[in-house]
Amino acid sequence: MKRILLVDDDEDLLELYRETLQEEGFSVDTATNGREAVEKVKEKEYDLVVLDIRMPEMDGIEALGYILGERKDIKVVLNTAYASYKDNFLTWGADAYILKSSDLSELVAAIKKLLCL
Amino acid sequence: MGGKEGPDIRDLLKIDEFLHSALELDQALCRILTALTAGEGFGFNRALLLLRKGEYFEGEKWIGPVSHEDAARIWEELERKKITLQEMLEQCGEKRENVLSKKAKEIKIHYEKLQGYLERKVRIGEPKFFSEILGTREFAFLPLIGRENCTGIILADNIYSGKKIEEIDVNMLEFYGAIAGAVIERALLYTELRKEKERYEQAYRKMKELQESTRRVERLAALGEATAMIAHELRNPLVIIGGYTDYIMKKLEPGEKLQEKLKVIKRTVRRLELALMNLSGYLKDVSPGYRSLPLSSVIQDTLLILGPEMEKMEIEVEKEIPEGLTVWGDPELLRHVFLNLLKNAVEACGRGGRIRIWCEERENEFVVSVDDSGPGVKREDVEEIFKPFFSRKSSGLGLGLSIVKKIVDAHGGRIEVKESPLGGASFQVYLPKGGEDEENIAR
Repeated sequence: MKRILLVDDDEDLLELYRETLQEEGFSVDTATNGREAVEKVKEKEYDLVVLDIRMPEMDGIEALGYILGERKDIKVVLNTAYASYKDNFLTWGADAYILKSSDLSELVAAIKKLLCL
Repeated sequence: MGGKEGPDIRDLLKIDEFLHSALELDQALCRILTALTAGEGFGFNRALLLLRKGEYFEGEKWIGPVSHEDAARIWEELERKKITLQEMLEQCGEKRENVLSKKAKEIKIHYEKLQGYLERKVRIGEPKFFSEILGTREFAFLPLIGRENCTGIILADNIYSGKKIEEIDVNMLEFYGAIAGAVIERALLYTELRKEKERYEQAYRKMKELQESTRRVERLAALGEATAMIAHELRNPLVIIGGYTDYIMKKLEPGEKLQEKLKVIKRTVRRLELALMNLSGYLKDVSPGYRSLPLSSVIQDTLLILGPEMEKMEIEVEKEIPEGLTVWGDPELLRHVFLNLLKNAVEACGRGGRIRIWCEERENEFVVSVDDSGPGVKREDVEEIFKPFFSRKSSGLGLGLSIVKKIVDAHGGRIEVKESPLGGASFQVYLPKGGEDEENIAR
C-alpha cells in the first residue's frame, strides 16, 4: 500500500483529502504545517507528499527543501489556491502543481500518475 | 534723399512699425516683400525671398506680376484704386499661388556658394548665378541680417519696367535689410516658442493621461489584491463543500432521490469556483497544466453550469461535439474560455434565443465555435473586442474576452469572431489536438 502524507493548515480539508485518498486505497497521514511535515518524513517512509504552500510556522516551499533533503526520491504534489507559484514548482523540485478545486479527481489522477498506478 | 528714389527715413520707420506688428513668419515675410514692391516703398517689380534652412538657402516666397501683361494690369488697377502702402501691408497674407510662388519653392542654394556675400551690404547684379534664376542681370541682392545671423536673402528686380536698380538708395535698402532680418529672427523665435509651447502642452496632456491611467491601474491593482485575498479565503471552504458532496454522492445508491439535490450543490460550488477564478484575476501569470482532454466533457461541464440560466431564458442550445475528440489543454482554463463565450452568447441572444456550439476537425487542430442568434459584433468592434477594458455592456470591467484570448494564446491556439449563420456572432476557438491518453499531468 502506497503511503501518502497530506500537509495543510485546514483540518477539515485534510479530513476530506484523507477520506478521499483512503477510498482510493492509500495509507494516509496528515500534518498541519511544514515543520510537522518534515518531522513525519524523518520518522516514516512516505511515497508521496501533498503540500499546501501557505501555512503557519513553516511554509510549503521551505518544507519542500527539507523534505527533499531528507528523502530525495519522494514525490511531491503542490496543492494550493494560488496559481502564481505555478511557474516555479519544477525548479523547487516538486513533481506536480495542482490548483485546489472541488473536483478532486484531478488531484487523485496526478497522485496515481506519479506513483505509476 | 540725394536724388535717389525709394522711401525716406520717415517712410522706413513707418514700414518698420508695420513689419514688427507681424508675429507670424508667413505674414512677416509677406509684408517684407510687399514693402519692397509697393510704389510707396522701394517700387521693385518683383521680389524673391530665400530663407536659411540649415546649410541651404531655400526659396520661400516670390511676389510680383508673372508677365508684362500681368504687370500692366496690376499697376493700372493699383493706380485706379489708389491703395496706400499701409492698406497693402494690412491686406498681406492672402495666399495667391502663381507661377512665381511655385518657382520659388524649387530654388535651393548651398550657403558656400554665397560665401563673401552674406554681410550687411547690398549688391547689384551679384552673385552672378542669380541672373539665370531671375532671367535678368539687373537685380539687387539683399542679405537679411538681424542682430547677428543672416536668416535669409532677398533678390529684387525690375524685369518689366526696366528701371535701373542703381537709382534706388542703397543705404536705405541696406537699412531695410537689417530691419527685415530682425523681423524674421523674431518671427522664427516666435514660431519656435509656439512649437515649444505646443510640445509642453502635449507633454502635459500626456502626463495627465498617464496619471489618470496609473490611478486606474492602481485602483484595479488594489481591487485585484483584495479580491485575490477573498478568493483565497473562499477556496478551501468550497473545496470542502464540493469534495464532501462528491464523497456523499458516491456513498449513496445511484438511483437515490437525494443525488439530484447533491448535484445542485456540486454545480453551485463549481459555479462559485469559476466566479472566484474570474474575480481574482489570477490568470495574469498562469502557466497552464496541459494534458489531453475530452473536448466533449469540457463543453458539457460549462453547459451544466449555465444550464439553469439558459433554461430560465428559454434558450435553445444545440451541442454538436462528437465524443472521443481530445484537445491539448488545461481543463480549468478551457472551461473558463467556453464558460465566458457561452455566457456572452446567452446575454447576446436574450430570451428565446438560439445557441449552437459545434466543432470542426482540421489537420492539427480543432475549431470549436460558439454561435448565437444575437445582434452580432459590429464591424468596428471586431479589432477591439479582445482588448482589455473593452466592453459594450453597462456592467463589468470588460476583461472577459481579453482573458479568454490570453488563455487561448497560451494554448498555442487563436480566437476569431465571425458572423454566425444564426444571425449573431460566431466565436471560433482554434485549439491544438490532444493525444490518445492523459499524460504529462504535471506539465
